Amino acid sequence: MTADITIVGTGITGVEQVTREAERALRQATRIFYNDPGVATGAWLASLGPPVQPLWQAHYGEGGSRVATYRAMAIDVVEAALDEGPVALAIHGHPLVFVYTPFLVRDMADLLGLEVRVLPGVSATACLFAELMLDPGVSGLLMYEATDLLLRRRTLVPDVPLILWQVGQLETRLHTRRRSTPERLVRLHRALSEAYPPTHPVTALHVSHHPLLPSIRQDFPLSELCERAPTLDHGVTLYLPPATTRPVADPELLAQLDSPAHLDRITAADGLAK
Amino acid sequence: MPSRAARCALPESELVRYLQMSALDDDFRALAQADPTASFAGFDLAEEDRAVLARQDASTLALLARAVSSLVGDGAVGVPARSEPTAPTVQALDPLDLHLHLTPVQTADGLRHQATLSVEPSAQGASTQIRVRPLAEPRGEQLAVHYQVDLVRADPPRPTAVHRTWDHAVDSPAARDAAARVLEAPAGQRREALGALVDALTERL
Repeated sequence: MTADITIVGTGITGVEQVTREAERALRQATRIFYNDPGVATGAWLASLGPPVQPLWQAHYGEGGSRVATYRAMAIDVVEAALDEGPVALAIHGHPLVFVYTPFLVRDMADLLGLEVRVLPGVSATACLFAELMLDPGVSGLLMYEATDLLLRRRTLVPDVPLILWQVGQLETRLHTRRRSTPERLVRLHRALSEAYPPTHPVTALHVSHHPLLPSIRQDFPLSELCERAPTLDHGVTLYLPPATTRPVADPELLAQLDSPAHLDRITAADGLAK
Repeated sequence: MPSRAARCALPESELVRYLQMSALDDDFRALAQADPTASFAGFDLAEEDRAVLARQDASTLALLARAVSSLVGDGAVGVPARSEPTAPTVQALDPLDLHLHLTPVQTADGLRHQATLSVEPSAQGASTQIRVRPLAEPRGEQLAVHYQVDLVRADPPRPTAVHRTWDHAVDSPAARDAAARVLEAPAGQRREALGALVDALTERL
């Protein structure tokens, strides 16, 4: 059954990363809204059949409020769902990762009796894992939105890998395409320096947004963060590997991990989990 | 090699067409990656752009940005302008639950009680719930409000099982009222009411 509003992700590299279930949902919509700056995304969506309506071109403006933009996008989508649903909303990357509009759409829809379905997409996180050969299962993973880290003085844990998102949008909720100055990174540098030494390696990664464009990677010591500001654009994510390792604090549990007797104690003997 | 001015005069649509085709057409992309020069046939691309596309390195990002910018300029679609949301409508006064939480404290002077009264359930455990129901009576052009107070034994507050990303006021009377107004509005004329709904949902953010 088709939901009144289906929200899908279009991946990071381009429509190559659109899942088959997302494509099916897009084809079944009466109208496709999209917020994806990919050079080929609009053309590909237009080939699917339903009329296509770009949201970012209509609502983003230099110096404008990003929050106001997201609200206007949500209104566009919900209005169309009421008038001519089912509609689809296609969003760059994963549709819920660093995107506000779907959450507003969900809550508006709940109150209006509309059904919303979200289909996952390939996120920047997934691309970053691939680029960095990073497995978050080994040492865990700490991820913050860069401005939120500063705003709430979030806790840094130097023995856990750290990902900082939206460094190119640091310290503003207004939309701009202007380059950052070194001054913009001063607070962030100060916060990171409380947990990491000046020589600690930092990777700035701009994952590929097109099959012909390789991912762009810069590796530099933390002490150079501010001077790198002009190159840390909107698509850049910072990665800081662990500075320390945390020793095992529960040797008893460590010993039990390979113990068949312990396995018998913590599992049922009468069959496999269903 | 064409001058910078000459390059800028070339239509960006050719660059867009090349980048779109290399993204959407598997065979063409394979050609572009294996033999960029051959892939330029049939495209009116500037020499500088061909050089970048042949290298397929980080400088391609600037070409992508240029192509996308030209799409924005050419491809703007007539989307209805967003109406400014109207001011919230006056809401009916709803019943209010006050939560009284008493904590015994041993002091040098003996047992005392600390009391907190809030409109939210206590996070510290069971509290006594005081239901306050407004009894409104029209009096001339004013609204006289009396309150009927009932004491209710409250259940211990339940932990919130699901964290809801973004704390929109989905349970507020204002949001429910705004949603009702959206549904009452005829198709094609809901934009203003939807703006009011967004305002109601986001008032506490």
